[in-house]
Amino acid sequence: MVARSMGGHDEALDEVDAARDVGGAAGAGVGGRPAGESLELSDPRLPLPLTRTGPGRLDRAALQALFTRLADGDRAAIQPAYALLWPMVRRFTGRALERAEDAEDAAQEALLKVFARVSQIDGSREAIAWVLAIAAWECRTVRRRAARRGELDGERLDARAAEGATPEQELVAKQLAEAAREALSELRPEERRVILEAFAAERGRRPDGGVAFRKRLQRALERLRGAWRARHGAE
Amino acid sequence: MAPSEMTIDRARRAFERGRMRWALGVGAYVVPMAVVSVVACGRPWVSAANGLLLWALCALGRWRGGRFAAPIGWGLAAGAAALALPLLFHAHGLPCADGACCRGSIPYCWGGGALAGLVVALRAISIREGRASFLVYGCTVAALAGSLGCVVGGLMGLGGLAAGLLLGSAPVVAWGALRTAAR
Repeated sequence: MVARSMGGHDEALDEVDAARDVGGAAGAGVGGRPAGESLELSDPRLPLPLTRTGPGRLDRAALQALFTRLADGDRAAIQPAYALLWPMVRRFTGRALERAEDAEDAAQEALLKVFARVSQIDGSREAIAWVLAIAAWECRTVRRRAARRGELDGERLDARAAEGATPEQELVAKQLAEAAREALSELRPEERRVILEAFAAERGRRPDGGVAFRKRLQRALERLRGAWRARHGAE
Repeated sequence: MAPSEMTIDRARRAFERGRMRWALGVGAYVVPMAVVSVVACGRPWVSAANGLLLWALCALGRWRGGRFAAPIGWGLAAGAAALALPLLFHAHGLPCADGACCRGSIPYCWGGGALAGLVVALRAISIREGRASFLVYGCTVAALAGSLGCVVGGLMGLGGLAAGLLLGSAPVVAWGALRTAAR
């Protein structure tokens, strides 16, 4: 029996690799099994995730086989496919996104999309590439959502600044934040982005930009001042 | 973190939703066939009901997958021939009034049915597993698709189609059974 230790894991992977080399897992005897008996991914001697240094040859073949079964409507393949995909997609989103919660959400959403569309998959298509393309798209969506949320960061900062303040001070802070948002809304999206990036850099969240960035920032701030003056008549 | 049972359940539900959408996509083939039948065969309600039944059967088979999904393409293709023959007869201006159409279209329905039965049966005996279910499901789909055209001949046309299917598939099935027994 192959233990669930690292050594055992590698042993199991080598066994399956060898089995595939001599004619595929379906036809070869693996780990003492009689020849002809298929090796199921749910086999306890084949611990999941089946990864050593990332998606290797075994992962691709196993995943391709599972996707073929899913495309054929075999519901029993859902769980092993999920178990096989989850660590890979989670690692991928973890590398693409900074926050662990975002990475977790993106991985889950990506896998839901994968399973929703797996019936349509073309058998000749590389399953891993397809899954990672969906995961990459999901990461992009999460980043965009986060960027949109970033525009509202000012509101949260205002709320924090207002902690411990009197109700009058809170009201003033709220009105100022509202006025700033209105003035910002008159700028073009790229100008808004430059100002927010500069604000983030000031708070040490992002690296400062170069000369071109500073010029764009200067122009954006001039436009913001103009918008503020037009609305409120003072700087 | 390993995936929880809840996330796998969500994946299962997503799979079922996606599969149902994909299964209903067979309407891209079935609906045009039904529209042709509604327009050309003079019995729009029968054609529409028949088309809906065919769509439901095909969608169900695709959704279920496996041996139920495989015969659908073959059944539809074979049934398309049975649909086309009586419609060609109808389109060539041959008499189709006062019951003459019924009599005139029967050979076409019979021929179309025989061709469909032959195609489905030949495919069925060439597969290793699930021959019987392939044959039954494929012939049912072919019969419903063919009846979209044979509705032009009324009950006699449908009877001709059914007889054609039976006579087209029976010899092939018998030959396949004999060949299997001989091995």
